[in-house]
Parts: sequence; structure tokens; C-alpha cells
Amino acid sequence: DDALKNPTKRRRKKDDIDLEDQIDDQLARLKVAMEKACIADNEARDKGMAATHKLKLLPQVTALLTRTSVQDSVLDPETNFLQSVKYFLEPLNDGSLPAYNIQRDIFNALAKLPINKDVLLSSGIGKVVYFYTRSKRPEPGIKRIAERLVGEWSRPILKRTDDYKK
Amino acid sequence: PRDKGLAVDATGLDKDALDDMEAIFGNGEDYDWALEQEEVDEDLEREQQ
Repeated sequence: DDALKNPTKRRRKKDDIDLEDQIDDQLARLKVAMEKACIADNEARDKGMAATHKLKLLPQVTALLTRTSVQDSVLDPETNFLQSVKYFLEPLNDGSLPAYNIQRDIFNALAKLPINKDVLLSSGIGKVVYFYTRSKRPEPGIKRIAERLVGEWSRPILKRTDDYKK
Repeated sequence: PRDKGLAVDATGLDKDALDDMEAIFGNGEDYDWALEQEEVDEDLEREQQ
């Protein structure tokens, strides 16, 4: 009986690993494309043209951020996908914010992800989210999510101090 | 002038927690250039009105 069960079991495991590798490749490729899009958008802005490169990639980025089956890879501090997400949210060279759709889709996705301290430290995404709480430019809805995220992300760190005191 | 630093009350935090907070959310200066640009743009708009 075991001899019959095992091959399929092993196969499934191998398939899982293949799938994980595939996703890591996909994430790595998308990261490169995202960073290029950020540079291209800044160049477009400098020339007085519309910045559209990030917007074109946004559906792909949102799809990966919201797919629960790839969450482990997306949140892996080594893959550091959230670092590229940070670049997407950063203000452009002229100080303007990225398109509203980018802000809305990414902030909504971030609000649903279980983001821990390790990925915060490696990605630096907390810095840009904190910037959105300070800037006057984001829509109130975006600012609310940013404020909530800063609260959620700092809670475990502040709580540790409380525990220590007790 | 906009207040600098973190949005939380830092009194009573131990040094490790403060270091973590700064490593995660920055020292409050990371995007200051963009915030300063914001003020400049606002002043310009006001002048144009």
C-alpha cells in the first residue's frame, strides 16, 4: 500500500518545489521590470510626459500581492519583493505621488498581507508608508490605510517594550 | 513647520525598540525632500491664485 502511495506523494512534493521555483523566477523578473518602470516614469516626468510604465505593470503586481498561494514567496525577506513595491509607492523626482490607482491597489493589498518585522527591515516599505502619513497629498482613504499600517507594524515592537517592563 | 520623527510617543521605549522603529519607519528624514517640494508647490499655487 505504502509503495503505491509514496510515488504520488513524492511527485506532488517535487511539483510544489517546481512551482515555488517558478514563482521565485516570476517575482525576480517582475522586480527587474518594476525597477525599470520606476526609472522610466521618472524620465518621462522630467520630459514633461505622462508616467505610464508603472501603471502598465500594476495589474501583474497586484495579482501577485493578492494571491494567497504565493504569499510566502512574496513576503520572503530574501526575495524582497516588497522592496520593489516600495519603489512603486515612492514619490517621483518632482515630489509628486504615483498615480492614484497605484496607491489604492497597493495599499489595499498591503493591508491584507501578514507583514512581519523581518520583511519590514529588508524591504524598507515602512518608510514609504510612513511618508504617506506625513504627506498632505494622498487622498484621505489612502492616508487612513497608511496610518493603520504604521500602527499595526509598530505594535509588536512597542508591545515588546511593555512586556520587558513587566 | 512639520513635526519630525515618529508618530508614536517614544518616551519609555527601550533602545532596541527605538532602533527597530527607526530601522522600519526611518528617522523622519527619508522623504523630507518630497515634503519640502510639497510646501514649495503649495506656495507657488497660493501665489498664482
